[in-house]
Amino acid sequence: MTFKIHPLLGLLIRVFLGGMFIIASLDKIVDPAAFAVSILNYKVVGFSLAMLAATILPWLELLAGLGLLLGIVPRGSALVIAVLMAVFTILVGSAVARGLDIGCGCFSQDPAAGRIGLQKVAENIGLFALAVIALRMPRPHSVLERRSDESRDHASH
Amino acid sequence: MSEAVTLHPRSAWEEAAILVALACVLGFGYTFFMERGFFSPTLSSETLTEGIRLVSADSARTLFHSGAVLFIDSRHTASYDSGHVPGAMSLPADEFDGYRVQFESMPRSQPLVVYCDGEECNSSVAVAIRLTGMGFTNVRTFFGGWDSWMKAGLPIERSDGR
Repeated sequence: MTFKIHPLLGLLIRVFLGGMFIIASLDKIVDPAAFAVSILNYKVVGFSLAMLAATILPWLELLAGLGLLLGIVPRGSALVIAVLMAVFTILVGSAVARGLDIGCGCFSQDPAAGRIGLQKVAENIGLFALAVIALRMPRPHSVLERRSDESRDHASH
Repeated sequence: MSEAVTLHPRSAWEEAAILVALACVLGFGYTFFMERGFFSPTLSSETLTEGIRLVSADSARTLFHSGAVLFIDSRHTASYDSGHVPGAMSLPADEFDGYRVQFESMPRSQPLVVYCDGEECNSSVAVAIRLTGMGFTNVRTFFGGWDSWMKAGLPIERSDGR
């Protein structure tokens, strides 16, 4: 099943989601230990798993963000983002339910920034829905394809 | 023309698997060459695991009465001033760099127990990990923190003169 939405809206969703994941990955890539601490604060996994996630997740966010934004591997990127958003939503939701007052660790790793709450759960559900829409959109032309189309157009003029 | 640059169309799962594999390579490659995360020379996984070793309220009480442990209060100074574990040193998490000089000359084998407000705060873990990064080999985190210390009716000390 694919969603038939206006191509411009599809592009906006890809740029928004992709851009957001690229921005979210940068702080985490620079300081994986701080991101590991953010993960540990959720009190769900131990050190080794937190560190493993802090090593791989930021790069996965960056690649999926770029893949969606540039339309290189759009459906795989949307799938990765949808799965990540589902996991993040469950994690934040469980932390809110347990009454944890912790930093989200979503964008900045500063403990004082972006405290979690029901609003964060709602935001995450919204992003998850966008990722599912992006996954179900018809495959967009990648940047490479668009360039080649443009060069063909130029050549034909 | 566009077909010419579209290689074999892959399923979303295949594309996602490629992204995960690439992220593993980049993540481990980057942290290896930049000596971060798992590959940080000062933050080995063993010492970090020690750094976040949790201490129950009972253990905290036992350690306190043993007298051999130094408690570290990672809350803001105002909270510290209005009441803290007797003998505890103040080391606010967001002012770590300013306070760390007090710990430079301390023997790295000194047993430390870090606490913050309680289970809802996270600065104790952050400070414990940074102390471990400074080379301290016996750092523990008292997750129950100040709340459970107070609930247990354990002795407190004030430094605001009241």
